[in-house]
Amino acid sequence: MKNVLNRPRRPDPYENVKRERDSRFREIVKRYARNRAAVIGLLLFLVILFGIVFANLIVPASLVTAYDRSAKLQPPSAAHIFGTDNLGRDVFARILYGSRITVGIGVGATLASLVIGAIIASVCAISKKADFVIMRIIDVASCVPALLLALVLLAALGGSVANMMITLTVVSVPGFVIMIRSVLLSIVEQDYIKASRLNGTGTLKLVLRHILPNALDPIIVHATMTISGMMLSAAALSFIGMGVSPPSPEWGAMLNFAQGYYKTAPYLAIFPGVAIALTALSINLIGDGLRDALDPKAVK
Amino acid sequence: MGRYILRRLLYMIPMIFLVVLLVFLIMAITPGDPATNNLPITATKEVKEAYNASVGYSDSLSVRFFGFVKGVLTGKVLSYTSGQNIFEELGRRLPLTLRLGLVSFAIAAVLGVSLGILSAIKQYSFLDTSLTILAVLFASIPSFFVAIVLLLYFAVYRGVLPTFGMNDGIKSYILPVVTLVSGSIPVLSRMTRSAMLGVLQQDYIRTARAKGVPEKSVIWKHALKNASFPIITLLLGGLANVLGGSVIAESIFSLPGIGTYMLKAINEKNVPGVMTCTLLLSAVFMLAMLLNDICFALIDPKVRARYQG
Repeated sequence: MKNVLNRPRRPDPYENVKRERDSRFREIVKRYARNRAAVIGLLLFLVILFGIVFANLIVPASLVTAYDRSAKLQPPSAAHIFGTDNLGRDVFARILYGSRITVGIGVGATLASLVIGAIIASVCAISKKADFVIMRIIDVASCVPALLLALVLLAALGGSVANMMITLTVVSVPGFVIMIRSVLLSIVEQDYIKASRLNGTGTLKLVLRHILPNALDPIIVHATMTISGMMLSAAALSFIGMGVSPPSPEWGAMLNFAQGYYKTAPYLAIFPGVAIALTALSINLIGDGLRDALDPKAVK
Repeated sequence: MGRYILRRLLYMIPMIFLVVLLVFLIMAITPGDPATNNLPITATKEVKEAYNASVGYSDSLSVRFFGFVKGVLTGKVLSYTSGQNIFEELGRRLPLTLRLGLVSFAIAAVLGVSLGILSAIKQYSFLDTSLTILAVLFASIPSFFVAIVLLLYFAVYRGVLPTFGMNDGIKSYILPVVTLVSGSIPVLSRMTRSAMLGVLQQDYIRTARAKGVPEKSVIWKHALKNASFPIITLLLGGLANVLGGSVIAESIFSLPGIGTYMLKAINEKNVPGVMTCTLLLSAVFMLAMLLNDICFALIDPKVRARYQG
């Protein structure tokens, strides 16, 4: 046994590559850490993430729906730090659990459009024929008014969290395809792709190992920025009554609900709105920071 | 160039046709029908069927779609719900949405672009830093929340502006316009700033300055012209959004515009209404994209050369 352990390590053929990758990662982290706004955004997001993950440790989930008729429409106090709504439900608990829904929709819809977009864009990058057909379809799809399409889909599917994610995904896939495709097309032209193709690398491996990893930076930045956009759209759609319906503590739905109480309980509108804005802000700051850290040459 | 524009205009016809067909098909395969969405829940099945048949919803898909196409060509598409001509209904609502949208667009364009230029010329100054922070902040606050806060303060708390409707003359426009503008100014100013910064680093700007070209001319002629492509695209995108972009603002302030009509038509499963809105919005969008390319050609001789010959 001892002998095996002491055997001189076989030189790792990829050692240089790995070291370079490590140092690039460290450099990105260093550049990111220098950006004060980006660090603030990350900290803010970590706090929000903490709330999302440990919501049930902070307040019991039963408070989201538990109503207390003796404590209707109470302004913020020590017992209910964000006050209570017209059924006596604790607004803080609802916002805390609502974060799972709103942020979940943003992240879920972004991931779904990212994966679908990347698959379609990869097909475009490999095959010229498929590219032609797909791009004609995208041409038509991107002329469909996005908001109208979202409203039609939501009205037909009905307002639920899953349907909201489906709708937002359908609406944003064309944008993702166009964006990822333009990155991939510039990579496909590179010599190292031609070289590995001549080496006999299979198409799937070519895409997964060589093309997509090299396109990662701009895609990550675009996806991060999209999360906050998706969240804002979801909240806006729920707010006008077309999205997730009111009993759910989705933030936009809470704002919709608050509309009837502007005079008596304005805090019902303020807290969910601030929650949306802070979450979107943190994600936007992270996105900006990532963009600058990944591509220091780009002008801010 | 003239022939190119003509070709693009002709190309728009099949595109719009396809877009409207797509929306029509989505509405056709998804559940719900005009009777269920509009009649009281107590309505019997026979009453509902009679209603659907009377508005023409029971016809086959092709009859309905080509009936709509014919209606558009003759200028008379009947609404499922009111039985009136949709073009007339939209015509009555158009002035409000256009006024609201165009005023907001003009304000956003002037303020957004000039703030962006100012930020770029005075990079890293106090002004630039505060504008950048404000832009990031306002890009994160949903515009409907801006509307709610303004509504709470100016309409509910102070009572100086109306909470809804269009009955107070110019005062009624203030909150909806601010709502629309709060989302577009930050985007525009950030884009303008980054485009200008990219150009201001170029050698030809240094050359122009070294030649002794006055700074004003360097900024407005040399730099802005070269930075204008992304700005124009964004501006025309905003212009294309004038008709359909005010759904949320109109809905918050209960304004009788195109946006609320669209929302109502979707909820009532008024398929011809939705299709007419789609037709209008996608046509405006495509015209804006064409205008975008024409602007590029006017500004850049290299682009112009591509269209000739």
